[in-house]
Amino acid sequence: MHLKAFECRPPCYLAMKLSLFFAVLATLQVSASGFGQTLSLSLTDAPLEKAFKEIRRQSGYSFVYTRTQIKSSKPVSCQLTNVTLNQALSACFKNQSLTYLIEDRYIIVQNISEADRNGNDSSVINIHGKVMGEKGQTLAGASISVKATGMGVSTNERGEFELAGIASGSVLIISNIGYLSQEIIARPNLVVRMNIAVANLEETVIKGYYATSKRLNTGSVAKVSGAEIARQPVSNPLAALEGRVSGLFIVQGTGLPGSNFSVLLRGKNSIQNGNSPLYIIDGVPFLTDADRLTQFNGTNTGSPFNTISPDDIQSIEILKDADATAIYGSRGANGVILITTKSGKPGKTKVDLNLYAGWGRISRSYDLMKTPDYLMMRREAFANDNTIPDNSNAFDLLVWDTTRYTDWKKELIGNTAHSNNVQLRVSGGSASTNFTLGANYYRETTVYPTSNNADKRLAVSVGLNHVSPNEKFRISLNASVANDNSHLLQSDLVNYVLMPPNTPECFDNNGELVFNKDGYPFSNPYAGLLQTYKTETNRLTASSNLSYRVIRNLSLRVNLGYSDVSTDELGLFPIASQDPAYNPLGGSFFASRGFRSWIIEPQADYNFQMGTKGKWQVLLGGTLQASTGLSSSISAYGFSSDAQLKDVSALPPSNIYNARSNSEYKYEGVYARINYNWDDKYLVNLSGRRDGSSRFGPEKRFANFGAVGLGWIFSKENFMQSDWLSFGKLRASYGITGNDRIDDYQYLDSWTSVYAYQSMPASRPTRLYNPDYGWETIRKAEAAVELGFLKGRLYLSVDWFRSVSDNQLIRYNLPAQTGFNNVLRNFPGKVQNQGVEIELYAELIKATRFGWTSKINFTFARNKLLAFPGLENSSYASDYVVGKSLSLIQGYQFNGVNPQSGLYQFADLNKDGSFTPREGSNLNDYVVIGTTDPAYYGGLDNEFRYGNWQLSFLFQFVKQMGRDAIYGNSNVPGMLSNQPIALLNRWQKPGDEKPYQKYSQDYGDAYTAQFMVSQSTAAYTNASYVRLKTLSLSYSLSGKGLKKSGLEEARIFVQCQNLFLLTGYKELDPENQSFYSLPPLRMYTVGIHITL
Amino acid sequence: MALLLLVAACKKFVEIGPPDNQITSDIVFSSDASADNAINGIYSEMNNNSDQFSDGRVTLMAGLAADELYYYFPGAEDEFYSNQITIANHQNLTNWFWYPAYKYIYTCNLSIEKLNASNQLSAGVKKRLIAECKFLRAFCYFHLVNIFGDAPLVQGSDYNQNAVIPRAQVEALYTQMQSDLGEAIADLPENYLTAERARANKFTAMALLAKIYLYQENWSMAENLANGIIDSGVYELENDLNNVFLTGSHESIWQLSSVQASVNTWEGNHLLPASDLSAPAYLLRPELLNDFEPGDLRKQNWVAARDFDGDSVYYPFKYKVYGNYAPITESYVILRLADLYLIRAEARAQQGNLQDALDDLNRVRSRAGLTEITGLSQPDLVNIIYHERRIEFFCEFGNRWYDLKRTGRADAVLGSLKPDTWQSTDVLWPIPQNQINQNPALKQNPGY
Repeated sequence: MHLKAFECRPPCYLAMKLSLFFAVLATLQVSASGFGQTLSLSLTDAPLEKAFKEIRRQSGYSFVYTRTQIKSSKPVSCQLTNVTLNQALSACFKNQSLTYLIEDRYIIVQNISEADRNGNDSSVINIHGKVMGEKGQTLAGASISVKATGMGVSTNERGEFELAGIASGSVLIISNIGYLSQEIIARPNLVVRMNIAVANLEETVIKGYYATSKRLNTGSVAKVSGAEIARQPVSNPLAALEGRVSGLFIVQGTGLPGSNFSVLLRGKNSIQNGNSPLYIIDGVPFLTDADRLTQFNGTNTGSPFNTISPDDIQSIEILKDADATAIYGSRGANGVILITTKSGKPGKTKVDLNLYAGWGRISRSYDLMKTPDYLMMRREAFANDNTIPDNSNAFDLLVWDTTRYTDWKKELIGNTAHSNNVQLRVSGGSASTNFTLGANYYRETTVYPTSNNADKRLAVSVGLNHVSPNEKFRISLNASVANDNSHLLQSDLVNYVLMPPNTPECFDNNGELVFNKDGYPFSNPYAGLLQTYKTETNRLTASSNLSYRVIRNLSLRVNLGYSDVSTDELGLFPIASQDPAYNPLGGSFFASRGFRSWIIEPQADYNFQMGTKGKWQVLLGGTLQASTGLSSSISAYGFSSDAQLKDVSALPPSNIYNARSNSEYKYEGVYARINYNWDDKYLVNLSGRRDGSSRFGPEKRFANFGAVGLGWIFSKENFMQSDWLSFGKLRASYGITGNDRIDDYQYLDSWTSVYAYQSMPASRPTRLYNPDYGWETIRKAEAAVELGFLKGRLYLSVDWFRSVSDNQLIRYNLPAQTGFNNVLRNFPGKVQNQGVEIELYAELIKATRFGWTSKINFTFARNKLLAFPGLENSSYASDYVVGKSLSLIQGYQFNGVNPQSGLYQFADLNKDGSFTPREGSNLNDYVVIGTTDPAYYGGLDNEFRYGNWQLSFLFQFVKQMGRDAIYGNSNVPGMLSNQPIALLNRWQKPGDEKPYQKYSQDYGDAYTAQFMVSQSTAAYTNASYVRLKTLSLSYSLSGKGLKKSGLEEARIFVQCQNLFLLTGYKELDPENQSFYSLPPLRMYTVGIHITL
Repeated sequence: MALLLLVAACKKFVEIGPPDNQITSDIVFSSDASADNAINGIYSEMNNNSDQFSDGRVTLMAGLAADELYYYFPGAEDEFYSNQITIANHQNLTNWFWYPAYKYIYTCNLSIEKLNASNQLSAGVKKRLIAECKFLRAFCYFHLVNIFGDAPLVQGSDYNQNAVIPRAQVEALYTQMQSDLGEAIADLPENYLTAERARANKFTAMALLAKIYLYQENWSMAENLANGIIDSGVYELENDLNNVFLTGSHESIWQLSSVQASVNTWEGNHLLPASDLSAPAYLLRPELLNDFEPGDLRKQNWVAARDFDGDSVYYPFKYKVYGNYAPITESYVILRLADLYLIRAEARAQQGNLQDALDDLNRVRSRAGLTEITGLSQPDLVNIIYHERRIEFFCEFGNRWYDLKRTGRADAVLGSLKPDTWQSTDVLWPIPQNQINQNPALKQNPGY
């Protein structure tokens, strides 16, 4: 046999492929002797095909043959009982001009003449073969082309193909999306087993309704694999994307468990409406109605994404440009994030168990004054203000014990958070039916004094696949249910950290909370611990995909999806948490909000070839989606007993405030995609959608969106053949998408209920009636070059993009004499996002025992308001400036501390003789300070492998401006509140030149100056940082001991999150930059992964 | 192709009904009950927050601008006290006065259009609701005129047209109010719709029109209308001053009923100190306290004092309940019988009917425990009636500020009280600049 595998991969791949190749050879030579299974056949003059069917039914082996072969076959007669497969086949092939080979679980039918010729050089041969996936499953639609002539075919629904009249010794190229292409010398009978592409270029890229490979993709799509997500000890999948994708800027809201994340893909497009991407989980849009479900949330927690176990995720694709998003029409403006969950895979039944435990602490915080400094600050403040401290204004100095010291930071947020994760997954099944079942339990506490404050998740997911024996009908199901339970507080304890360090004891001798010292009240943080806030989120998502291959290359499919997400909230305000001196009453609030939606998406795919090199893919589909939302809330106040807080019936109706609202959202569309691929060299991708959404006025419900994507793989041109450049592609796209992320019902001429008057229902008009407002439209342009060097070991892509959003839906200001201050209408405001994204992938070292892979992503982007007619007279006059970013910062020009008065001073920029503070919309001496948009950001991900060791780490970097912790705080030093130690460097006497103004304890000049400095150039500082976001070290156990103990694989790992931060930014965390919420924690986890 | 047909056939798919908590105008005005809810909503909105003209802001700001109140804490409201209103308060002028008044005018205009167009309502209800809208519309214009002078006369619901209307003359606005109130009086019933006097009836409209005629110096019409109300027998002065502002006061002609469990009246919440420890924000000027005659029960019952930070400070105590979920005992009184007695007294005095004028005046004085007044000349009597109005209606819905202006005494009284800052043009507050920006057809008042 003259089989030869051409190798275009690095040496270790060659080794792998060779070993596989030998394994195939071994199978070929074993023939069918060793099968224990027996068959019985009873046939009389039966067609050979019938015999095949019978054998397949009994043995599970499939036949590979052509119509021509069968046509000339003779009928079969035999009576066999409990014979081997080989015996049965011998009987059937007796007297036939055919013979067979058994390979894997296929019986390949060969013409005897060809079989004889096999191995002999002959000028022309006819080939018939079969292409299989890595697990032996059929690969339909794989393409086979003759390298020399370019002539090509693709496999049928059974994975088979025929090529006639091929010159012997020709090289065939066999390729399929998601698999490594192979080059094989032609021979009459071929069974090709493809390997999953691990290299960057050939990996599958899912673009929602269709998939392509990175090589052939005409659009901008980033992919984060499940393996990358699994390396991070995070509970929220959005957290795992931070720093990994160019163009995607994610900020964690708080370090509390269950934190919300803000996600912006390629900047803000909409001046006033939603800027969050469209999230789709297994084909089902997730939370198209609201970014969050909580109604009372004061701590920025309760992210609905926290119900998704990162382990359930197979991959996350981020669709950015028009080519990738126009097929989502009116919903694609802000980009699309596709989450694909794990589905079944054929193979032996496997059990994966992943356990870890983690510890977390705050990584950044203020260095605060200790008691002596604090007391000195207070006394100096009184002296500066010429005020004599007395018991009522200075009880901290005169009534409290001035020798006390409590480190409130340590006390309240200095504890250790714990996390525990248990993940169990069972998967397996045959090529025709396979499954996966995952279960996850996760619990994370926080750094508060009690461990009751925790977020807990329980999630179960299932994935099933089935293929009918004739491989025409396929069905898959993915479903998951999850419950996330968060027990936190109504306000973050960070808010208490600035309490005076000599605050009296919080508990008396009986362990009761204390609310005053000698009659002077103070706020007790432990009272805050009683004011609990619980959220419980439930999620059910299920989706199913059914497809039927009608004829060769035409399949019909339908996606069905259902999702139900809801959150319940409970906040308690017990009497015990309040100062009894004020005869307090208890209060509580209850809220629930949920969305249910279903989606049906029928679709037809047709692929065909024109000529030898031109391949067409046509897709046509439709969407019907409906979503209903229901939210309700109850606030109750006036309980006389804490035992009744959850029983509102204990109160008179007048003390209960009820609200209930519902919404309905319906959406439909037809979409199409036509892709033309000429010789894997020239690519044209047209996609479009016609959309209708209930969110718009009756006249503006439907609109058309579309895009064109072009690709040129110039490295395939003859003139570009080179040893060092293995791949080169230019691509460009242009298209229009829309944004329907607005509230429901805004076009309705509606009335809503107001407080009952005289116990009778009452209502008011909700808004001015504007029946004709429509989509915000976004035009996106993109051009990119992708280059692969050194046989793919180095890959570089550089994308330039520009999007311009128009037809902005804003609240257009009206004079109040119309009865309203504004009307929601389309407006010719234009916003541009322009930037460059760079991704670099390098397999720096690829040896048997040692490997090093590095990935870099970099984004440089600018947001700009291009036009806003009438801005000066709108209520946005002080928010936006044409030519600047939407995230504009304006304020006073800081001029340091006046050495005489000791107060902050500011520049008279409009040169009217003196500095004048802003008066309403009259900005006076305001200056544009800059923007809070990052100037650039990115990540550097490295992965090292040495023997059984694996080390990976991700550095995230951001260049940006952020709020200064001291100037940016309107809290005046000298008042009854502790301050960062840096504020000791203050003005004390005339002539002093200091960065910080004098202390003060009243609401006088210093207070005004502090308020103004918090809106000045000084309040914004460099908040750039480099952070070691993730570090993961793992060791795979191996050896005989492992096998003996029945384990397939065992791996121990250590993972760290936010381990290290390099920044010039002071006091706060540069990511959430918040004075009032917990910074993201530094987490360490240790765990083990076992596969049985 | 089949898909395209499917979606084309489903064009109706994306048509949805309104949510449960919103109904469209057509449905609102398709039944008597829901149409009534719409008009009920105007009253509810007028009493749902403290920062609007109908819920205490006229009392506070006009009280500062006149000679009634001063503001204890330094702040932006000092500009009303010194009559030096700058751009810093223009947003407040919009939020407190301009916007809410036009919001209710819009709702009235829209409702009148929809009520007229609907053929599903019973004739009686339709007539009554249109009349209530006209009354409420006149009420809003009455305050706009007295605060700003000329104002846009908006009579429809189309925002494209309404957005460009310039200011109409005060006279034109009064003519509109008279016509609206005339129709309201004709169509409103004599009884109140509910147990409380919380929605306008015929006498409410008459009371407002009497006041407007007084302001217009149409003495005979003012007297006639006052006669109609006083003689109706529906109203009587409360003997106990502490009952005047209670829910169900017999003296009330129109009072806004509380809509939130936490609040009795927003004016009470503004004027009363929040707790035993805090200072009242708005304090009575010494000039006003000195104007009370010795033994005036109104000073005893309607003024409260508190020692704060070493000072004795005085604040209005007509409303006595600070919200905080106390049982609802008080309603916000907008029109009451004492006003009609003093309107009639003034109208009669101006027409030379001095004895009847004195009778009316003394009804009010004797309730306050003061001696009856007899035998004055006409000018003296008129001045005594002005004084009585100052005391009876101190810190009550801008009566003092409006009275000083309509009687032409603002320059004399306020000019001598605030010689450094008072200017004649201060009788009108500025048209908010942000409104002029939105509608350049609006011209600013002189002096700003």
